[in-house]
Amino acid sequence: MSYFFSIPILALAAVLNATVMAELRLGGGAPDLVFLLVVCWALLSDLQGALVWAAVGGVMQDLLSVAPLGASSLGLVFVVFAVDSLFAPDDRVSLVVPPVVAVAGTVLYHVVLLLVLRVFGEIAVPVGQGLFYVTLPTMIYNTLLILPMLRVMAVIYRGLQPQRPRVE
Amino acid sequence: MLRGNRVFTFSMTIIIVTLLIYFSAQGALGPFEDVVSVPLNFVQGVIGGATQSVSGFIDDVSNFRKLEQRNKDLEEALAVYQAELAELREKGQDFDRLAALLNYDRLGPEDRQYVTCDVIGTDTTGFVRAIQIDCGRRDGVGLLDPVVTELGLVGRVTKLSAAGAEVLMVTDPTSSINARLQSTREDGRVVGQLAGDLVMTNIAVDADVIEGDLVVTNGLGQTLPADLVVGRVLSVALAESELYQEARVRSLVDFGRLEIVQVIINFEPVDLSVFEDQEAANGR
Repeated sequence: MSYFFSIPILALAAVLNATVMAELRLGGGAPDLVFLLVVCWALLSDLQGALVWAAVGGVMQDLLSVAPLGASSLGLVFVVFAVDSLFAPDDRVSLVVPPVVAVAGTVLYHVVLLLVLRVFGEIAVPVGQGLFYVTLPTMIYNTLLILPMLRVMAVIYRGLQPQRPRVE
Repeated sequence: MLRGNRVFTFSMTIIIVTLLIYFSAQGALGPFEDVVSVPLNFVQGVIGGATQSVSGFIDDVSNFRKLEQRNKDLEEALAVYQAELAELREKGQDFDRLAALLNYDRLGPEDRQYVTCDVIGTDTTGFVRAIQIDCGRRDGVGLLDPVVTELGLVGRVTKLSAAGAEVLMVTDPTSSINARLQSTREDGRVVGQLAGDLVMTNIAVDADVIEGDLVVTNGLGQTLPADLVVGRVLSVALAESELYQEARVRSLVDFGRLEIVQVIINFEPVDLSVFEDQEAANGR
């Protein structure tokens, strides 16, 4: 269920990234809704579900960019796997882990994206400039937004879980 | 999930995504991207239009006082430019007469065919300075077509679907344009910066570079038509290598507030590689 649900929500997030979020640009960075949704899902769900969200979210993102299809997916897949490997499920929804994931995850995601753009897209963005003008402001926005976003996603996540029959 | 299973799932996802990137980079997924882009472009157009209206209204309200002063300045400037325009029209007519006498044929501004498009979004990666427009192949737009506004060059079409296109802007770090300083006719290359500025490099060391001079495309390399306005020179300095000069250029276009652009659809670059092939054949 959550797999099918991911398609419209991530498509809408990608469109909002390209339109509304672009108005909030600080330097070259803006809040990245697709990244936030995928990371929140990784913090709440199991690895398999989060990987699907990462792949779908990346594809939606790349459909609205010059990057080859899958470039963003690759970065998001690495972030999701790192979250799953480094943090125990009970620690993930604390007040500390989500901001740490937002900071480190944004950097990891952007480094992978820069690498893919260079290798497959033949777009050689200067790494230093890219990290300073794009990654840093995006990281700040993502860190500020991850906790409220996680609360919203937790409600949606609980709503999508199959109801267990009550034992009277 | 068991550790072995997790690593297997992760590895399989990486392989699938890498294959996706490879095939997309090769252009094999073009038809799929075309089909999926249509509804996305539609939603993007609706949300983008609404966002720009709201953003424009907020800007107008916050800049109301500044706009009054600016209006006054522009009225004064207009009076000066009207006199200059009359003089230039005379010269333009002389040029047309002489060009007709010499049978000199070129694609002038009046010969260009434009398609007007709405800007519906910006590139989502952040690392690429690009915009999305709501005109595509069915509107006659082609790959690498120049995109302009009334204030000058915006960029070139780099990705195309039936209903939309992505335009790589001149401010992108990978963008490089052959350009010329209008008054001194010195050639150089304008490259974009991630910070949003433009830098004109490869200007000869002894060249005279005037601050405020207009930078226009020179048509060399046949990637863009000649005489499209790129920007104005802000400052000039010797490059670090001291082999050439570099000028900071400010475009007249506000790339952060683009709403409507025009695509030149009848610019047909001459394929210069034909001459290279001929040279190679003659040398054999």
